[in-house]
Amino acid sequence: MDHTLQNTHVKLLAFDLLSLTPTPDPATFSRSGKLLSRAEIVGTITSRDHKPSKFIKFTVDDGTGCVPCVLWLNHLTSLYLPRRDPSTVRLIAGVATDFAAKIKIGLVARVRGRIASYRGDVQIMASDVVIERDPNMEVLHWLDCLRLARKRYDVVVNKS
Amino acid sequence: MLEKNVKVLTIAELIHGARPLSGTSFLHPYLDRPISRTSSSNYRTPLGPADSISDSTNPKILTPLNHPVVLIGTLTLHSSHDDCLEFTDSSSEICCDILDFNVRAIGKRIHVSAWNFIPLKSTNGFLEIIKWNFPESTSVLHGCSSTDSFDSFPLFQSSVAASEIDHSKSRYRFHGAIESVSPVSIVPCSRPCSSNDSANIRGFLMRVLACDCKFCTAKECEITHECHSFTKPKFVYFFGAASCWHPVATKLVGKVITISGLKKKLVFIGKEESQLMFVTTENSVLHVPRLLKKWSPPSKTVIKGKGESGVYTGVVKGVYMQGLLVELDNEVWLLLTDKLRTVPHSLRSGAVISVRNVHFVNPRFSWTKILILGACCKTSIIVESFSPLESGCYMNAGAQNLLGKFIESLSFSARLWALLVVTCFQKKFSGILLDKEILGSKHKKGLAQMYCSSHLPSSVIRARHGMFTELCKHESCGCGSEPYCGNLRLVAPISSFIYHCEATGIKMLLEFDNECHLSFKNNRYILLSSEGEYYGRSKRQIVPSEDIGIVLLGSLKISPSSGRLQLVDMTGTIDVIIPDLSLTWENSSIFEIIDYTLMMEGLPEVADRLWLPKNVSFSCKAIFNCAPLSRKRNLSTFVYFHMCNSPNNYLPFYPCAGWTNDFKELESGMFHLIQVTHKFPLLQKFEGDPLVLNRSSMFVEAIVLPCNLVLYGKDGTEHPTKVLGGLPNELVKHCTGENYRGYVPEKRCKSNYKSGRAVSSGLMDDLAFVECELSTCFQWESSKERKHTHFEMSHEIPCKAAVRSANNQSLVLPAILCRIKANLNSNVTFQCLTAEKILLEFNSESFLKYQLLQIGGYYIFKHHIENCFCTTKDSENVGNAKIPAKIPVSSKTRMWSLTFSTDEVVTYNRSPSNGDSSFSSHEALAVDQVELLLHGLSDSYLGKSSDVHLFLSANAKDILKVKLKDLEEDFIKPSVGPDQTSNISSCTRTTLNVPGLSYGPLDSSFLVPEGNLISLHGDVVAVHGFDDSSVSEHLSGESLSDVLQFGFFQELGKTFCIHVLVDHKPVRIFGSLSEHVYLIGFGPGVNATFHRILPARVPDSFTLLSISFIVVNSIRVVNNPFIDKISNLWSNSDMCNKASPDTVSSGLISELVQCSDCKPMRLYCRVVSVHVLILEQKNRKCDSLHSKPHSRAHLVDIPLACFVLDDGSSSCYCWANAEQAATFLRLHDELPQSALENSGLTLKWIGIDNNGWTTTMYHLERIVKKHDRITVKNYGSAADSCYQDLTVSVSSENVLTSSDENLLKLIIYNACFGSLWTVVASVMDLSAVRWLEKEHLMNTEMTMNSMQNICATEVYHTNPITEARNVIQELQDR
Repeated sequence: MDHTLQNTHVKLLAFDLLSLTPTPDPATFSRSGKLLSRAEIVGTITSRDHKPSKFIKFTVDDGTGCVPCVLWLNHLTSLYLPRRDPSTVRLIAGVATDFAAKIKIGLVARVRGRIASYRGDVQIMASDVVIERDPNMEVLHWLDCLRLARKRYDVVVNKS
Repeated sequence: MLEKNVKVLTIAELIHGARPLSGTSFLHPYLDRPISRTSSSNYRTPLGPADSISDSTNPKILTPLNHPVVLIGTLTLHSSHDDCLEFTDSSSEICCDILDFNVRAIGKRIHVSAWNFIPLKSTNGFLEIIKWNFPESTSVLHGCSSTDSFDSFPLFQSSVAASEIDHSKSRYRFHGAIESVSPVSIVPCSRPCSSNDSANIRGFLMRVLACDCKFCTAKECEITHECHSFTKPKFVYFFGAASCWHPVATKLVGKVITISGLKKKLVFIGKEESQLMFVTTENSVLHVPRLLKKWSPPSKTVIKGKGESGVYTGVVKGVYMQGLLVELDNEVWLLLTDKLRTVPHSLRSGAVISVRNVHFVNPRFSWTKILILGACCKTSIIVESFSPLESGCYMNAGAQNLLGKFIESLSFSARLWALLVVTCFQKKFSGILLDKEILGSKHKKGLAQMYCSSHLPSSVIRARHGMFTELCKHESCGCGSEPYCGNLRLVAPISSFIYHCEATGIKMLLEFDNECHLSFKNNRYILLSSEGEYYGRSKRQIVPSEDIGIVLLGSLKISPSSGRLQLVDMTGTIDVIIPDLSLTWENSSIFEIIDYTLMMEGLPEVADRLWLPKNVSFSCKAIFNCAPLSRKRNLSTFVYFHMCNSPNNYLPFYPCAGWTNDFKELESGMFHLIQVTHKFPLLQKFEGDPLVLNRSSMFVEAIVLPCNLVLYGKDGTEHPTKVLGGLPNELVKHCTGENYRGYVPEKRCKSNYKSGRAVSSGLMDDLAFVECELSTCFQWESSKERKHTHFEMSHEIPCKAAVRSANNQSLVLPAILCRIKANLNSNVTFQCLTAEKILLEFNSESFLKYQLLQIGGYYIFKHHIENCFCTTKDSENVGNAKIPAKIPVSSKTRMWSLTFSTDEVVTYNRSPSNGDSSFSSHEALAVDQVELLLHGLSDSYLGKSSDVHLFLSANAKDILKVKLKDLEEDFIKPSVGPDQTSNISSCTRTTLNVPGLSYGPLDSSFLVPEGNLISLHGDVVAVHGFDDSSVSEHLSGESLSDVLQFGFFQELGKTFCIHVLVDHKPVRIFGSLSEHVYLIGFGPGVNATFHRILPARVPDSFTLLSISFIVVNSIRVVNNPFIDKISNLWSNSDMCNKASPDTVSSGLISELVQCSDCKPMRLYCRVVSVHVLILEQKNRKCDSLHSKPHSRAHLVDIPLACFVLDDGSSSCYCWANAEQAATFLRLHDELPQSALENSGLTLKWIGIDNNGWTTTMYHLERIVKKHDRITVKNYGSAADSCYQDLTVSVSSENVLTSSDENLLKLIIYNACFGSLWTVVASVMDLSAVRWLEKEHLMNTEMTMNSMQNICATEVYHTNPITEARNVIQELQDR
């Protein structure tokens, strides 16, 4: 298996992302023999479910599919977060709350995060959400996905 | 009782033996080793470099007698002038000094069981009594605890009959502690009562702090051991026979004594002041307690080194300058005055001495760190322990000459400086000048004194008084307050100077090495992508003279072995570069170089570290012990200076014989004008063979300009008619020769004379003044011109010549430039000038002249009928080729450099920016770089350095300029440059057809490749050698044969590849450097012009030929090539962006890994995390150097920034400069209000209606202002923005508030949660990264993933439409 993309936020279109194969490691997925764990998507926000101080669930539609995303807002109460400096955790929590406030149906968002699996379906555990004001960014993203797939993700490295 | 087997030696036997001996067996009864007691353990400190020098005169240890020997004799007071005690036995007497002195021993018979004997030439010798005892019984020394344990000693040993003494007057006595004792002095005296009984009174003064209590002042009462307070200062004058007590008194300084039988006298000091003193009488008695009580002054002053007095004890390391200067311990210098004639003989090197009442002075010289102990009349020296060494005794110097008196009058620091100057002068000029010339005599000042007095400020000169005044009015004599002399510069012998500089240089270079530990072998230049090993590993340091604080003195000469110009004195030589050295310099002159720059380059090795002294400050000892350098270090040192920088380069008082003659020759007459077109390097057949120079000649190609310069003599106000009446006609006739007789009208001569008188009213000091004068002159001249309507048609141009003479004085003379070839009737004008090519042949004597000629420079030769220059026929025609005439230039041939300028404003602006645009790209580096401009200075500057400066009217100059340029182009045939150089704009197209090279040192048997020779001008970035195998890598096929066809490549062994940046374009020049032996300082970092190099067939490659000549224009320090590289990349990108931003092809980070051509690439990516970030408050000094508009406006500088970028294909570390980092950090964007709230920043910031405050930069500036330097490092995840572990550290002492820290973190998070960036970047190699980290992050070893490092050259917001189109294009193309 190729690990070279594991620390990279791969740019995949929704249909591609949603069809990733899970691996025994719940944090890792595979695509054409390459292991992936982080992704970046750009699309229109089509749904939004906000549970303050817990999470916000939203879907991003890039025209090829809808990617469910979740942004956790429970930094201050969660036990899952690794032990970190409390002030930093507060900062991150504040930042996440800001993201949550920005997520509105109909806006074009750039979402980065870890690829996760929820009830058998692929979803993005968002680490940051950037609202793109320029709709052309979505187009550029599509093209970028094509380019990357062609030049990077689909390239089979011949180990011999 | 004497022990058995103890031999008794008489003094006569000792003297007769006349060899240094040590009888110390008693001290070591069980050891048979030749060590005396005095060899205390602290004597030998580890040897420093200075010690090792002095070891050449390694003093031996005194020869010990291997059996116990005792001397038996009497200790007496000496009545002679030598200020010593005396030891006598029946056989003879001898001067002596004694340890554990007891006053009771005076006049007693003692047994001396341990002693040193030093034979002296003038007297019997000198005995140092180490151990002694009374023969009677040892109990005398002990058991003296009774209260009346006072020993009384009549001061007059030959006691006069009591009846004659008038007891009534000599009734005073006092009890007190001896504070100080003056030296013995002689007061001329004539007794008024008996006129025939005039005598000089010998005596000394003692200052006693006496007790004023009733017991002490009582006349008869015995002194008891009551508590006394010694507060009242009293002076006692010991004179006449009592003066022989001086050595005893000296030893009793600081002890409590009683003196009785004194007289009171009022002594007049000077004319008005009087002082009550006690005077010894015939019945004065000294009472010394058996148990000597030590006394120390009640209040100890803090020694700051400003002249406070105190006690110093140390080991004598050396006695210099006839005893005037004693070195104690390490670099503590005891300055003895001439008046202190009482220096004991036992003050020999190796002895431990204690100096009391000495002034502590820290001279604060810039060149060394030393402590001066200044002795005055209060100072006394006691030897605490004798020297075990066979070092000689100090003998009092004889009569004082003027120099001595002068030195006496100086303050301590100035005196030490003057003594050093005297020594240096002796060392430097011992073979050149007579001792008498250097030191002077009783009536005539010597060179050293003249030099000193011309450099010393008046504040250091102190009026000296008699001993009485100085002791009684000590405070007002100025010993205690030292004027500042820190700015006095040392005149060092050249050998000491080099020694010192090398030590400093190696240290600096090694220190640099530590900071930047790089594996250079693996290093590859991105820009140059060259293979082969680096030659440019050697490093360079440039030190300005202000930092060294040493003045160089010496004469100039050409080294017979290297052919380089050197500054020479008797001790050594140092290479020098003097861009403006006049061609008329005199061999015999002594130059004083104050303002210079020292350059050291080389490759210090670990072995050099061993040699390094601990302390690199200049050692004064090195001057006294200056010896030729023992071994060659891996460091070349040279000095660079301008003659015009110091007004008195010539020693003003040292006669320079020649220049006046030279000047006279320049005053009038006709001169031929030439322009140097090329210099041929000397073929160095055997490197270092001094014979080569004698055998061969050097050639300079020049063109003879078809006009001559006629100077019309100096106008003397005294002889106006002589010049006018007699000269012009003859002069003109003579000067213009047959060809143009009659073309110079007499009227012109007259009018020129008039203007001449108006201008040259005498010697002018500087050109600025000359200019001022000229402006008036030209008013006249231009009016004249207006009348002369057809000036262009004329064959002569009137002008003014400012003539510089050797001592930088200027004189303005009227002159005419007149055309030579008037043979074609009389219609030929300046419009149709032609020129002749000549070859100047320089023999070894005139080699300096060869060196001083600059390519492109104008020079004039005096016209002489007998001069071969003038009689040489036109060039001969051999076949079709024209062979230029060869003209020998001997050392007697006078040449002067010439420059032209107009009467318009001439600015002496030395800024390199005018002519040297190649450095503009390094603006940001200006802080780190030191630069030396060697040649190629702007015209105006050359004007100042040239011998003759010709002022033309603007009109005339334009005509001449055009004509000369035409000529040049005419003469040096233009040719079409090769394709590969066509885009090199700064390439000076001095092109020449190669087949014409039938002259010169190139052997015609070589198969010379065809092509046009060109000249290139650029910055040398790297020089590296390569062996044959790597040659093939470089040049394949034909081009390789191109290179190898040149025989000299193989002959001279190593070939080099020089990488030169010509107008930001890398160019390679191949060739052998070893033949260009005169290139001082050539290497990476220099700006050089390569004359007549041949383009190779490989693009952007050239070949150095044996006729090629390299001129080093400027040198700067490049301690690390990466600095350059990065800045080059940045500047390159700036350039190409402005031109065509789309030329950079887009790519993926993952592709960078394979990228080998290192071209910049365009990436679309996001910031994932920050690796490291340094924020600094911008230095205002640097601010002006920055050219970036963004960074200038703000106070935040980002010297180091590394971000982790991710474009979906991979991630990489991206290093950015301040501007790009600010973009990445979105510092110019608005900071989200929520971020401010999250940071916990107080709300007072919010709501201020100001556009500025909302930007991130605004807040950052505020934080940086508080903390100067902030470092942020990420120890957490590089791939997840949220999981960065950011640690913030600040350099200031202010605590970083949590709100500020939060805000900083938020700024970074904000940078990571942004949209896409378009980044133009290229790959950076790992060593550069390491260097960057080392440079900025001293200690930390941050873990870095195995990601690619790139260097951003441009960052901007992605324009989705443009980029999308590009991607579509890319996808379609595939």
